[in-house]
Formats: sequence, structure tokens, C-alpha cells
Amino acid sequence: MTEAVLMRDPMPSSSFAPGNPPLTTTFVLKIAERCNLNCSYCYMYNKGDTSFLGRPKFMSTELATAMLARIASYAQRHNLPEVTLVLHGGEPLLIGHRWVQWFLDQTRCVANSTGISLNVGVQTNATLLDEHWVALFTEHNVTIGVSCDGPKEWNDRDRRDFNGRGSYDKVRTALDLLAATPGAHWGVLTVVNPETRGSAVLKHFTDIGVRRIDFIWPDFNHDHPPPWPHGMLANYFCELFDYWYDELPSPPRIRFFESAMSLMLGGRSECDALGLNPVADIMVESDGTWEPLDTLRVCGNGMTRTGLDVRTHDVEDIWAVPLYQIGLHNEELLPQVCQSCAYHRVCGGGYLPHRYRRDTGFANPSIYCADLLAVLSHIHRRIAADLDKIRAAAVPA
Amino acid sequence: MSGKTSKHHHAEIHINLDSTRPDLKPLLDQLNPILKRLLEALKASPDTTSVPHSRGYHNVTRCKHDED
Repeated sequence: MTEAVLMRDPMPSSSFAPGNPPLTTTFVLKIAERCNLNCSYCYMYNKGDTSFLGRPKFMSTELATAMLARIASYAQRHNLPEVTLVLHGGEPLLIGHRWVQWFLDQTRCVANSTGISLNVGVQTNATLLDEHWVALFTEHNVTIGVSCDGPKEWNDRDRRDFNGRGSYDKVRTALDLLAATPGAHWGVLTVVNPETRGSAVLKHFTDIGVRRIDFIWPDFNHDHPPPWPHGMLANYFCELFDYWYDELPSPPRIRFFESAMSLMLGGRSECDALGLNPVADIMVESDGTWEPLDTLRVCGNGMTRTGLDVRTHDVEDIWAVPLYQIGLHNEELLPQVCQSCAYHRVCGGGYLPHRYRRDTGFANPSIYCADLLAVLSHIHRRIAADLDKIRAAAVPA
Repeated sequence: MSGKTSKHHHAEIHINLDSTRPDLKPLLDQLNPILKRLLEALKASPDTTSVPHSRGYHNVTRCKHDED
């Protein structure tokens, strides 16, 4: 762990009661730490972190049992009525149908015995997602997030297997299956490439029948800046927003845009890339260690390692980990240029890994600061103009 | 909707919905449907910023109770 780098961040003075930080209700479970795809931008395997090599390919049932017991006791101690468990990887479906069936049965048992509602989701590349998987997930009310970057020619630029073959055809089969399955809860995550066109990506997904999408800003930071000039991502998102906002008769949910609009209107963010909130979610690696946000591993090889084992440590033990503390207190680390920005409460400094720089840690604006400001200003102008029409017509009598 | 808006921190727009103003219904009906749905959702649960909460992991599967 790059402790020295982290400690260059001023350790924040706590704005939370001692020993009482914001309580996460989301645990991301790395049940499979290998993948059958080799996506060029993958933060797990292709951004410099090699810690996965020292961990098992799959989480054992013994570890999973211990992990569920720890999470349930944590929820009970803090009176949390509901916890979300996200099956993640790598590619989680590589662990096999039988293991997942066992896990879902276990979570049901734990939920029944504790009274805690355990919601389960899965994030998958969908290359293995067939009728059996969809039936299992639908039966257990598991929400399904599919990773796909749009039409075949764009998806297959980056989302390829180890032999260089694109993944689109298999993913498309899975998306069509999901669209045809009543009762399935599903959506799509897409990593943005600004050399493509957002409206075409969105149209592609809406033609398939996708009703929930999020568009992810690629993982770069000040040490590893994006290859595109400033403004390209802003243009992508502004064009995408206008198409979504103006053109579609039945627009799907786009979490990034809705979170931005909600924050501007006094509500909250539903995504971890916007808003002034603690980053509190907890990962569980296949070797049974509690870790902070997994995408932070793009900031340094082994940076997220903690050594805190689910068999010997409670969930709360991660509260003392410096990197986890930085996530909790990330707002206090924002530099003056962010604190004085008009969009500070909406942007929140952007996504935490995108703020990193080796010499200053996380006390920086996002590497995407200029593009974020352009996108958020655009959204603000659009909704303010619409609301101004109502304001003008609705002066109290 | 009262139609009363105010701006906070420049980027924030507060607008209070008031369903007792039937004269505003035609205006609301003309509002962009995405914006209208968000305003109605905020009206249904306006106090969403007082309790610290996790930003949420970046998958799109968290909101299964929030279907269209």
C-alpha cells in the first residue's frame, strides 16, 4: 500500500461523530477475480494493479459464509434494515451456476434468520448470461447490470477476449434475452469513448429495449491523463444529453444525468461520480479481505489492499484504513478551486479516482474538471430555461 | 407548484411544487417529461440530503424499487 502518498493528503478533521462514520449498505463481492474478457480500459487488470495475481480465482464457500455472517452482524449492530450485495469480479458468472445458486440460498437463509433484507445484484459482461442464469436471477429477484459499450463496431474496439475477438455478438444475445424476459431487473453500464457519438450509443440501446443505462467516464487521473483533448468528453455528454432530453418519446433512465439534475434541484445523487457524499462502499476480495472502492486501484499498484480478513475482522475495522478514511472525508480534501466553484455541490469533485495525483494525493479537482463543468453548465442551462417558463407564468396572484 | 424558485450556490435551483395550484397544471403538463418526473420524485421524497449516504457503487442495478 502506498501509505506515504496517501498521507500527503491532510488527514481530515472528522465531521462525523467519533467512531460513527456514514454506514455503507452496499458491499461489492469479488466472487471471481479472473475474467474471460480483456477490455483495454479495465481497472482491475489493465491499469497497473497486479494484486489480483496473489488472490484466488474464486471466492470459496467457506469465505462467503464467513463474509455473510459478518455483514449480517454489522447490519444488526447498526439497525440497518436493508443491505445490497453486488456479485462482481472479474467476471462473476465464471464461478458457475451451482456456486451462485448456493450463495443465493445462503443469503435467503441469512435474511430469514436475521430479518435483514439482503438485495442482490450482479455486474456481468453477459458473455455467459443464458436462459439458466436469467431464470435463476429472476427467481431470486437479482438485479442484473450488463457491461456493453454500444454498437458492435464500438463495443468491440475495447471489449475483446484474450484472442482479440469482440464480445458484442454474445452480449447482444444476452441483451435480447433480458429484453424478452418479464420480471427481469436489468440495465446497462457503458464506458464512454468520446470518439464515438453518445446519441448513437443511446439509440442503439433503446432500440434493444434497455430502460436503465449509466454512462461511465473512463478511468484516468492526473498521473495518467486521458488521451483525448479537453472538450471531447464534454461534447460527447452534451450531445448525448440533448438527444436524451429532447428526442426520445420514452427516454430511459440515465443515472449520471438524473443525478446531476436531482442535485441541481436540491435532491441527491444516485451515483458515486457526483455530489458531496462520502465514498463508503466496501469491497470483499476473493481472498476474503475487506477493501475500499475497487476503482481506486488505478491510482497505484496494491493501493487498496488492507489485510483485513472477513474471518478475523468485523466490517467496522475498515473504518481505520487511511484510504477508506479518504473516501469518507473526500469532500474535506477538495482544493479551494473546487470549494469556490459554482458547481461544487453538484460535481463534488467528480469521481474520486479521477482526482488522484502522486504528489498531492486526492486533494485535486477531477482530471475531467473542465469537461465536467461544461456538461453540468449545459444541463443547468437546459433545465433552468424550462423552469423559467413556469416561474414566469406562475407568479403568485 | 408555487412557481417560486430561488438559486443556491449558483448551480442549484429550488422550485416548490404545490398541487393546490390547478392553474399550473397545464404548464406542468407541458414540461419536459424527464424534468417533470424528477420534480415529482423530489416532491415525493424531498428530504433526501439530510442524512449522509453512500454514493453507491457504479452499477445500474441498485434501484430496483424505482422502476419506470
